[in-house]
Amino acid sequence: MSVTPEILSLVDPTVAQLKRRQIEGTKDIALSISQLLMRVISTARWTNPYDLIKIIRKVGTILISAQPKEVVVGNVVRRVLALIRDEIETEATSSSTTASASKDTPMMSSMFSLLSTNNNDSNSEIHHQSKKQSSDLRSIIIQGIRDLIDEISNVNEGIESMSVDLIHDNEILLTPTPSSSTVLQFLIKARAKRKFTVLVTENYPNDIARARKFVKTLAENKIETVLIPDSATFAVMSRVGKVIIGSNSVFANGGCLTNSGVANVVECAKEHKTPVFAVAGLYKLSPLYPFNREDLIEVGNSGKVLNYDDHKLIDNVEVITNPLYDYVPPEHIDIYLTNVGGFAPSFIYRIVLDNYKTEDTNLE
Amino acid sequence: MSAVAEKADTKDQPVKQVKKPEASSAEGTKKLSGKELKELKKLEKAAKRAASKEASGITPEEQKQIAEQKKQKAKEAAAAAAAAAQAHATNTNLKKQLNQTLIKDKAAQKKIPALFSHLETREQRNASSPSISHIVHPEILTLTLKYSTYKIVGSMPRLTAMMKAFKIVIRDYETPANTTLTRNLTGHLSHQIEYLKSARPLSISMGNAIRWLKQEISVISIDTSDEMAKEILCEKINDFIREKIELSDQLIIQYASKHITEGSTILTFGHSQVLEELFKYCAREQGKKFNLIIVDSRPLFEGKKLLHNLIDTTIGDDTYGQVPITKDHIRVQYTLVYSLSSTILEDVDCIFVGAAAMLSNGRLYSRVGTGLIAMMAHSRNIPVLTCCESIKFSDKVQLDSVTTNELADSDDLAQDQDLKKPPQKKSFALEQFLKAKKEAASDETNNNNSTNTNKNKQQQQKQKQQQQQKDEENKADEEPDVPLKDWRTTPNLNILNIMYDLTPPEYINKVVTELGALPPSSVPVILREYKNT
Amino acid sequence: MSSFNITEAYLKFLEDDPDLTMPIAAIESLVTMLRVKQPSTSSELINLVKSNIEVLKSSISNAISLSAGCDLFMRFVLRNTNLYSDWESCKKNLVENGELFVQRAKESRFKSAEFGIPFIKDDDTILVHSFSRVVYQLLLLSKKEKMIRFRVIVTESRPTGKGYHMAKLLQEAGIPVELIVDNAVGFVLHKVDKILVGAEGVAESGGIINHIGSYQIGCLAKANNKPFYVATESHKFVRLFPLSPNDLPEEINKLIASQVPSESNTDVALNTPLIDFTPHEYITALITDLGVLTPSAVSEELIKMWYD
Repeated sequence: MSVTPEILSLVDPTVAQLKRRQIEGTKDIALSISQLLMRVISTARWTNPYDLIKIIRKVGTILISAQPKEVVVGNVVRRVLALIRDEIETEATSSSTTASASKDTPMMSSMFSLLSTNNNDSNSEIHHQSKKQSSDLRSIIIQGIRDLIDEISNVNEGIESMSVDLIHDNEILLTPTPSSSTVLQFLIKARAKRKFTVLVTENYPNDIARARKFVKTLAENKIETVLIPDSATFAVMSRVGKVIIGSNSVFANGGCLTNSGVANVVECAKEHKTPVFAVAGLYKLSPLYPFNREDLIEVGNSGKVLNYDDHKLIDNVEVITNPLYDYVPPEHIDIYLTNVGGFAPSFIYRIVLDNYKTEDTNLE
Repeated sequence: MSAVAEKADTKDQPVKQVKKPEASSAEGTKKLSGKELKELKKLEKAAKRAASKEASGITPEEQKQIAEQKKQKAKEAAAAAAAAAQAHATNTNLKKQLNQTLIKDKAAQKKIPALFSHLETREQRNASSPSISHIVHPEILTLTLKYSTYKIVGSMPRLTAMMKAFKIVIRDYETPANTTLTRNLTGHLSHQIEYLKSARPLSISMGNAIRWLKQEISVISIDTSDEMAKEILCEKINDFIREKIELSDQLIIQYASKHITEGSTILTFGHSQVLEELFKYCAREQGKKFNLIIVDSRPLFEGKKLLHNLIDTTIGDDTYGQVPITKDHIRVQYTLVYSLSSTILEDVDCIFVGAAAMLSNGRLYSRVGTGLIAMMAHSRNIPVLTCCESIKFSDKVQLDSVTTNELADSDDLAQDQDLKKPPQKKSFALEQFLKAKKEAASDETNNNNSTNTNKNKQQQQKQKQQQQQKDEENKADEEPDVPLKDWRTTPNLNILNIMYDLTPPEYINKVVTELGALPPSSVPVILREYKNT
Repeated sequence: MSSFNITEAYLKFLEDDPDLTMPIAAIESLVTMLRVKQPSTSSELINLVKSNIEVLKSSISNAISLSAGCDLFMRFVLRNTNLYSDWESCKKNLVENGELFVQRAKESRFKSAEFGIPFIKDDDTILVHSFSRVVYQLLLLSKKEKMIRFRVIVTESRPTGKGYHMAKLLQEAGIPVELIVDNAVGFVLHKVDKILVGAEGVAESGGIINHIGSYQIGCLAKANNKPFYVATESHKFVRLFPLSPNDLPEEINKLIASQVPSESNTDVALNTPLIDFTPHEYITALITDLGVLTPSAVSEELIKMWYD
């Protein structure tokens, strides 16, 4: 069952929005994609759930190609696919009488796949889904997506509850990601019980407006705030107790993609042995592995770096780039704080494996 | 209303002035506490007299002027005292004068973050009060303005400009009666330097040069005539500029140019005079073609200055016209400090940074952001070289960037400035004038309100209209994209704008000076050799 | 019963099929042994397997991957006999489908190579140490299927000299190759974009056991910020946890006393070990048929396998 024009017409507005960058921010993108998938599942018709999986994969490919550097799109699609696959498995185990041997083993190492003789390719033979069961499946999946939407919207609550334990009194914190609402909530929640100072880097030229709003909000919440230029990071780092960063997406190896300028700060912190916390909602974790840095980084308006009005300079300069993102390798981060708990970067792969299925890593 | 404020100010001043001498000058003159107490008592008497005079109708301004003139005359009449003491006295006198002319704005509190509260802020002094100008040479006044508006930035340019200004000051200097040039000129120069410091603190190179100059002045024999002495001094200053600045730069450039090979990629941060000369030399005289990555930072955007200067340098004969070296010899890439980690540092062969000073424990004191670049280069095994003339070497030791630094005006960061120009400074006098005007206008409306208690409805309406107009004007003034316009009044909010940072010696591979190339740990060796010669 | 010499069978398997890796050959020979001996009870089966494994391990030098394969087989047998009621059919499966394992093993090499292809980009310079079939497969695939243009620098890898073999194969595949002496790795390292090595065995911590010289290269890579990738199959995960590069059990690490070169006049003997251990801090990622793993993911796999 391929993707019908009906489904395509549902998907198109979101694709257009993604292409025109009308949706900003990972959270909003995640929410709109999940709502779109909910609509797609309600309207799609399928005879067996594997067709549904194929449809979602195709839709996912279309969405990802709308904004290829935005990792969250793929994450949400894969979460939904994992949901569907889980549902199918639970139904299969409940409906089939003879449990296949491999399912009984508590922790089956995948290394045994070399020697095992169980054929796992018999999945597509389960054709006996009746219509009644398929509509049940639909409503179950939609409920699952609703839960996912709830989770995405409430991601900050989970994270900020950990803030009081991690921040002490009279500490000086540094945050180079003022565009992260998660970090903002995190700090405000901690202020209720602790008194500390926050240094915020300016993030010129890309995020400077958001940085200013951020410092204003922090000051209004009675947090001592200091705005520093990006170049002063090394100078103040000896006095900083902790660095808190927000991330755009987290990869399976524990590295993450953040706004540009953060990698400098984090490297500085490493040199001074200052701990670095990264906050990320669960929907930001991705099963992808960052093979090549250059492919991940999106490039923005060079005019922000050197104004196009400055034609004398522009005429004589060969290259001006304005990278929007930075890749931070896993060795530079000490703890990831997610709404399901805190983890070391070396353990992220496990969380990823828990929430996504390996078959879905490649959607093509 | 303003009169009351000023009376209160004069009362506050004695307290402030006790503190002021403790923020000591570069010369390190020590203040005698006895003298301070005397000054204190004098000022209290002066305040009382001022109050009584005000009652008799003389404005505070005139009072001050009369008082100052009296004081000055008294001081200059007491010339029998030792030259040092006299210089000392006129020094404090100058400071007092400067302070008295300072219009204290109660609303503008000293807003620095607690981390850096031990550093002096850029409280601007009144740049052109008439009562000061007859002590300070106009050349120095111009120079001070240029420093404070960032027209002259950078250790070497500032030093060169200062020495040239001193030449003019010395030429115009007239030895007063009852004293000799050797004794008095030093004090005279100290006044000028005190005034210069009000724009920006002295750099290490300027401090070293001033020490040298004072030394030279003191060795002039008493028998030489004033004319001769002035000639000698001007000659010496010329030699100094030539030796310590121009020739040193040439030697450094010759050595450092070996590191720029054909086709290599060099990265530089901000603007340093010697580095600019280096790049020009390699492109023009040596004809090398190389890539240059200029990293720039807010708020000064010195990288743009470097770029402008490189573009203005041209090569070529007259038949084909002059071509800027950036077109064919130097391939320029311009970036800001935030994008360092992603792609910039991939292919860099060598990094050149300038220096404000080299400290005795091998640390490099340079523009803020240098430490960041050096650290990132170090972790990628890219060599970092500093070109530093020996005049910039200092005896000081310092471990991090927070202990001593220079705080610049935080408003530079709060404004969304035009990228083309360096921070625009409204002169302090202008600001005060505008403020006074505003206050006067609001005074008028208040007076109108209070005097006309039985107003007609028409008049009331007029008042309201005026008020509304003013509000609208204020709103129009408020730029929507400067949300931090009122950061000074927002509690808990601070903006930090430091000028320098400290780079540890393990991040610097080589320091190139006119005496050769050294590892950063050898700086105290050079200082020692210098002291012996 | 004919005397079944497991070592002979093992060596014969290796001889017959040069493409076979040691652990697979070991498993094949154990399976053949089962076919020959036909144990009737589970305890007899277990004892038989145990004793044969010991014989095999003691007779072959440099037997890290060999022991990995044996351990894997042992675990599998034990687990099957403990948990499954119908181990009889399982055993039958094992015995009858010997071919299947060989096929699967070759496939796993192919799968590892496929996972590793995204690491190689145009204009890359890759440093390779000694000879590894997985690495060769990876490079071959990148060249033939994906048409990626890159060049390779191979170390000589004394004392075995396997680097020459690798260089020859790569040249035949049309990949530009450069051979260097082992001591020149530091000299060329700044030109290199990434380093790719195979592994004889993967330890519990995620570190690898590989031909001598791998540890040196790992250290240099870390000091120069170059990524160090290891390509291997998952059946080489072994239950060892060495603490230092020379902390390997004696029997495994047989030294070779090599002949003194004729030019030198000394009587000093040249003793060199054949393998060393590279700790996990020096490894950026492990490319296996299970995907790209971080060193901590490896421990998890091993824990799962040995979890009782």
